[in-house]
Amino acid sequence: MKFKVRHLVAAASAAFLSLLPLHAESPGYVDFGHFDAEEGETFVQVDLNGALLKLAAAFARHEEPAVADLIGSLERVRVNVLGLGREGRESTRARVAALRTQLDGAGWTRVVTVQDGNDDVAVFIKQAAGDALHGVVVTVLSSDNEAVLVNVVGDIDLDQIAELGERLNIEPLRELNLREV
Amino acid sequence: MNAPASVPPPAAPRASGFRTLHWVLIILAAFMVVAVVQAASVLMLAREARGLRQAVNVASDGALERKIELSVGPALLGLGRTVLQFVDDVPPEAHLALDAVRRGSVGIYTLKHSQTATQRVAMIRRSVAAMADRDWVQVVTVADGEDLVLIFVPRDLAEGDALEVCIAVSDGQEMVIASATVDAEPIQRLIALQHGELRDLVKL
Repeated sequence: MKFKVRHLVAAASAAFLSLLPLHAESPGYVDFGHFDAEEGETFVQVDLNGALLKLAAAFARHEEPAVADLIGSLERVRVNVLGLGREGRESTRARVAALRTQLDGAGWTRVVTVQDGNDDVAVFIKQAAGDALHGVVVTVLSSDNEAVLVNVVGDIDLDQIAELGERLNIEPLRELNLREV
Repeated sequence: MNAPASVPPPAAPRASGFRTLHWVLIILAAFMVVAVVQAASVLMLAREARGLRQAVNVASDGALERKIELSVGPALLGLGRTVLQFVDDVPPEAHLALDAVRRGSVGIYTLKHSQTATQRVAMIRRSVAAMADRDWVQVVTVADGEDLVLIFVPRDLAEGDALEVCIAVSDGQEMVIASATVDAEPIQRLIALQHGELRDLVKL
């Protein structure tokens, strides 16, 4: 009997531990993986966590309370801008394509698809209950030979998306009305 | 029962005097050591900034030529705050700004030779690795042409903590490396104060 109890405890602990990684990151978080600066190409990476966003919200509170609420509700913002040089162009395009496929199959909803000449834009949302979103992912392969990846994680209201695009300067989100979508 | 005539006088007062002088000298020496260390630390970068400078310097093949390095710590800032108390007509913003800073460190360097694209990429990689060893993470990295911006914060930065930040900025000719610890609360009060003043101006 003692043996069985020990096994049960071990199994329960293993089950609990196996669940931990699922809860370690918010459902709106997407791991873009590691990007390296490529020689001679533009490279931008911004990765703001909750503490920094709360601080930014506190600073914005007196000037723009609505924006402060919006920023304060975010858990993480990651932006990658990668210049597509000759060497990394194909591999980056392949990574963006793989990411889109991964999101399509992981409960994310593709709300925007634009293919205009060399511009290729896809926006995904991870819906929560009601009018809330867990996260937004924007993927852009632009005609300027740049790849842009954005992941906004947090408790985001549908109506705040355009404001988010405006404040974080994310063009594809600026005119997005998800209520119409 | 007669006391011997050759009994030497007690030496206690002389020994006590020596002991006092001894302690005064030790305290003076300690003050001098502290003063020298403080003076020297003013002309040295803080630990994180030093680590970042070293990483950048190695990646750039020793291209950093120091123009100036300065640091201010709690002692000097405290002295500044105290002095400011006795100065008339200091705007409250200046008091709040000084209250916000706990310590700061800045170094300005000339890049002796222009950097190749390979060296700029190496600067990023080495800086990220060096700061990661100290448990700092990159929050902003920008490499655009010759411009380079690196901003790091401690990995375990939590809400309510004083904000520690370490940055390196270069335009290809010069590089600025700085680190600072600032309290968020006085900055929030500063923003509130300025916002209040702006509102008063609008009312007028």
